[in-house]
Amino acid sequence: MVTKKNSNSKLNPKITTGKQANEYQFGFHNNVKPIFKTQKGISPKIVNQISWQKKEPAWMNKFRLKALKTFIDKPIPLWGGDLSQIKFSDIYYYLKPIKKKGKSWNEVPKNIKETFEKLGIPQAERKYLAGVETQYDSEAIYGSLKKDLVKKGIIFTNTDEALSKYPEFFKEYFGKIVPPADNKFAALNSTFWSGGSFIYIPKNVKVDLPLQAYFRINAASMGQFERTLIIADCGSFVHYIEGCTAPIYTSDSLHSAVVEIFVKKGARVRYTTIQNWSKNVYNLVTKRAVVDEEGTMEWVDGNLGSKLTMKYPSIYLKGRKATGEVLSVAMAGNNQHQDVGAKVYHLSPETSSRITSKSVSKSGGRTGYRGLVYVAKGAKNSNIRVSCDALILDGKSRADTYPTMNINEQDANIEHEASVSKVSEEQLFYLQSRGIPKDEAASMIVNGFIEPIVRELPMEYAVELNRLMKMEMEGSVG
Amino acid sequence: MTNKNYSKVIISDNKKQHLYFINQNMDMLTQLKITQKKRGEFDELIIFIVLKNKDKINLETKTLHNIPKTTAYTYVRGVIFDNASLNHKGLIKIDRKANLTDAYLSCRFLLLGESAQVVSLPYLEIENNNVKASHGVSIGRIDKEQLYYLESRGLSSYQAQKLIIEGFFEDLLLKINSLKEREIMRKLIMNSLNLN
Amino acid sequence: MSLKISNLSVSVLQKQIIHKFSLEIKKNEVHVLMGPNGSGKSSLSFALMGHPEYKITGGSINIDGKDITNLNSSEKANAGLFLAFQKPVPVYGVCYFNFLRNIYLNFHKNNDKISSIKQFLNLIRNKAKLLKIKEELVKKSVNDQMSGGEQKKMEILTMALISPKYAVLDEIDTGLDVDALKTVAAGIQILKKDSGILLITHYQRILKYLKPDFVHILVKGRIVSTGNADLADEIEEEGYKKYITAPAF
Repeated sequence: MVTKKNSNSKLNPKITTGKQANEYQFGFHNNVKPIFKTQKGISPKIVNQISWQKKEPAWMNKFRLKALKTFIDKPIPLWGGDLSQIKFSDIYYYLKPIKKKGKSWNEVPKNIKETFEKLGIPQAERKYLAGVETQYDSEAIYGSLKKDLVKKGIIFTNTDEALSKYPEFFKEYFGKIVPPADNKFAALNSTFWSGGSFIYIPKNVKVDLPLQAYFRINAASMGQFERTLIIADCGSFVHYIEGCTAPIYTSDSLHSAVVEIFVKKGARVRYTTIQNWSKNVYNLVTKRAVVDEEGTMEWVDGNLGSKLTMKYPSIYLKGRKATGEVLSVAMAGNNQHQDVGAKVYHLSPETSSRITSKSVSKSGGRTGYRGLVYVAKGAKNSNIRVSCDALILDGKSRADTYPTMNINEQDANIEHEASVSKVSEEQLFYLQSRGIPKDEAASMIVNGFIEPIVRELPMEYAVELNRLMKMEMEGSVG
Repeated sequence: MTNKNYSKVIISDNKKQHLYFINQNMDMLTQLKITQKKRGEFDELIIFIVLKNKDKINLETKTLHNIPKTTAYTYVRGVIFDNASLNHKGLIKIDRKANLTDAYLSCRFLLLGESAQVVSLPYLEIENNNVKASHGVSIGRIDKEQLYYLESRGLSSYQAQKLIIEGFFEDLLLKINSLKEREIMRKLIMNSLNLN
Repeated sequence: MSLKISNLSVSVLQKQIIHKFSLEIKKNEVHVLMGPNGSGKSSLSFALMGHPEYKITGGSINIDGKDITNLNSSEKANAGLFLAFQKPVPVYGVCYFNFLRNIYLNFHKNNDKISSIKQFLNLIRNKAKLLKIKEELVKKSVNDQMSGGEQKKMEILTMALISPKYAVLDEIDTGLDVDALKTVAAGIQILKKDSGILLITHYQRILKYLKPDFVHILVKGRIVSTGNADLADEIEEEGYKKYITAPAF
């Protein structure tokens, strides 16, 4: 395919195929001239430019400026991963997305096409992931789904759009669960947020198909500072999915998202995330749900990529008989640190929660489970079960668990267990004795290890995740 | 009856048992650490806790493994009454070179007071994969089914509770290899449990 | 054409367990290996299959003329050796059906005709029926949430699927009730048409339903006696006393 001389795009692929574990790291640099880009770094001037560019109401601009001050005042946390290398002044905090000119499919390197093939990524998505297309063309499939939603009174839109279309409603909920002062990175997100999803499900409406099911790679959800807000009114149900198992390259090295979810009386929300950011990304996310009486919140969290992820989906069981569940699977390879977990607060009687965490570390990677179970005085008859298992595949890797249980009510029942081990010799021997070669046996065992969580994912994610684990496992049993 | 803490080390078979009874209000952090120097060492940290009134205990247990083939098990059993509070951090740390370590932490806490509190932090930091490392924590109150069962046999609520609490410590008491020490510990626990 | 074990010596945890063990098994033959506790029966089966903790310190193992002594476990399996475990190992999260499918595809990779998933499902159903195995078991994780007897029957089903040249059945009769015992014995009777079998047993109950061609007594890692089915009867009557106090040679 001929590339025009004065084209805006310059193909500059950096592909390394590691011998060890078929690790793919691919970078495409599109030297794009955006329509609007702020300068690097942090300052009120930049914040104002953003507000002006977005044509925001004054209160939002004020909100951002206040959050900026909070961000500057707060120190960098010393626990969790190593954040000392982040150069805040060296980052572009806003880039208005434009229709970029893509490259041709023929120019995409062969081994990347092979990854897509191995993972079974649908054709339509491959071009988007490879940077051949920059707009995911989902209208054909997605268009009719959208009409159906509108009929039911469901709002499913971009957070920016929601602010302008439903200002009063937006203001009522925005920032109420995760205020800027919550932590340094919530403050950062509050200052520079852009994109994300805004979802409102009316009373008693149950959305059968997962939202984003047909639209997995949502440009909005790939932003650096996306802000997602979900409001599930009484008795409603929605399952929201974000992310993708295929490795995504992004030049942005700092991702700081905030997700706020309101689960009203008797409602149920399930939020599934699979992230596989490239290994230059710091992924620092604040996700929190508040659950009213008899409501249910389920977080399904898959962390495969990024250089460092710090993410602890939280659930506040505010109302009586509220329930929560967190399923977390994390994989850390060379130079990766997944510091993930869950936080659950039991604030009312008869609440129950369950946290299940499975992690795998190899080739020098490090996984950490960090969790909090808090039971307030008066949260009578509360029931909590936590189980964390970590597999360390070789002698170079590491697993930690840092759980905290803060229990202030005698009439509560808490069970917690954790274990760290390697792939069992007995299991390897058993599988090999049936003719299965060692590598394949190890990858069957690892897939079996994470199976209880993978089985909760929608089918195509589960299949891809299993294949991805298999690929990652090649040659990695030490 | 004066509250009293007690500790003793017993050496039997191939293992060292470090026994502790804690029921005194302590402002300072109590740190109980096991660091083994030779391969094949086997240590058990066995801790009994009874807290009442406004007792506040800050306890830290650590087993640090930096040589191969060591075994360390930590057991903590505590009953917390009234407004008492226990903060327990239990760390198992296994270094890169500590091949074939076998480490385990087991905590069971009974909360038996309106304002009783326990904060439990069982930490694992593992850098070697050829090891056994795990922990289990359970926090709760007396099983209502058990209470009902005993009361249905004619025991008063008070008597039933007393029996169950005594039973709560029993499995750990049986781990103590010296009959003499076991009796001392049992007596200390029973005396301190004298429910007023 | 045989499984030829010649002067095999095995050690585990630096202790010699098997001493110059020799045995030859031909297709269609059922050899029974009996012996008191601690005689080394299971150690032998692990060593034959290449368990990493069992070291072969001398001798050799040949399948149909091919030396498999130092191959790893999966290579040995692919060379035609099968081991039915005394304690089948649970492998959590791995669905038994998928596991069997993987095994089947591996052993038939050089065949032109490979059954589709649907055909394979029927194949498994039929074999399960013959062995009186409940169909739901196949949907569970490997050896998880199944009784010992059910696990053992699944071992036989796996063997039927692979159709190995030679099979070592380590205490296949332990944990089976009478009905299961009869079913498994019948299964082995059919399978022996294509395989040579080494049946390791402690209680000999299965010998009521399966007639052995040869019986060997293992004591302290050595074969102390070889005979036919009558030898098994003798042990049932008199126990192993005679062989334990006999001088070692």
